[in-house]
Amino acid sequence: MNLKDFAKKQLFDFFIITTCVNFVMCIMGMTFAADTQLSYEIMIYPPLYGLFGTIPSWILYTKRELSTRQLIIRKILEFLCLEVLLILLTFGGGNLRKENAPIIASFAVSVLAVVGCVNVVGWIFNNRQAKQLTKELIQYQNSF
Amino acid sequence: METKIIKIPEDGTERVVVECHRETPTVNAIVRFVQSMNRSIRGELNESEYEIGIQDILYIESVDNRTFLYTADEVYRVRERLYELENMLLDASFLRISKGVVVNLLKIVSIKPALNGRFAAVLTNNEEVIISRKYVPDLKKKIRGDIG
Repeated sequence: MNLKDFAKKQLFDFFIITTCVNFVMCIMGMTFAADTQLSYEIMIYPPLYGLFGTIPSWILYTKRELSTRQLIIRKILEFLCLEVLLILLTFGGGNLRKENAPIIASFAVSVLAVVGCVNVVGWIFNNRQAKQLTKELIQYQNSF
Repeated sequence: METKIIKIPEDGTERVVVECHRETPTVNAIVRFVQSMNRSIRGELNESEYEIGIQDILYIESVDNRTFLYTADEVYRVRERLYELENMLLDASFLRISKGVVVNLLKIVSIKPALNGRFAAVLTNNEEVIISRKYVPDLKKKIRGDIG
């Protein structure tokens, strides 16, 4: 993938992550701190997580073609980096304590859910494009 | 377009005649296809050499600087480099879909999504070959008739 295509994919992922983080923050907030009053400052967090969430994707960037095996390994590495980065970002300021384990675990599962959502949405878009390509390919084959 | 098959004696020369009002992309595609049917590539299998008609080729792959040609039943080793075969088959229904693979578009049954924004082409023998994102614009151009 060239840099332009990669940047487009990053932008696409950024918006999906930001949307998903909104939902996750809403669900986690209502579950763990339903009475908490928040300021407007909270609105900066979804795009911030979206931004940090796309950084580990650079692990996947390369000009050469990766085999499926190499890609799977890089995808796993990307996910691990993402978990570590976001947990440190959220709980790094002294909140990485044993008593916070349930909320940290929930957070880690939420990150997994968002990663899953991003991949599913990406797959839906690609599937639509693949169906269109198949349709055009059959027309091409029929012209012979 | 009306089609007609006329059977001729065994000693006669087989030929295809296209009668048309003008040369359209469809007419040219028919001509290219008929011409391509006569072409073959020399391949090696079990120390014997074979002529493989290009209509029987599923795809051609380059692995460690060696080129292999895949049909439904066999895998042949060929002397030419992948880019040489790509150029040779440019006017036929062949297209490069990744750094190491040139595929026969007439042997693709469907295209489906693969990992990380790539696509996979499912061939007539159910084998799958990866289409890199880089080559998707070329694929679109080829099947829409914008190139070769």
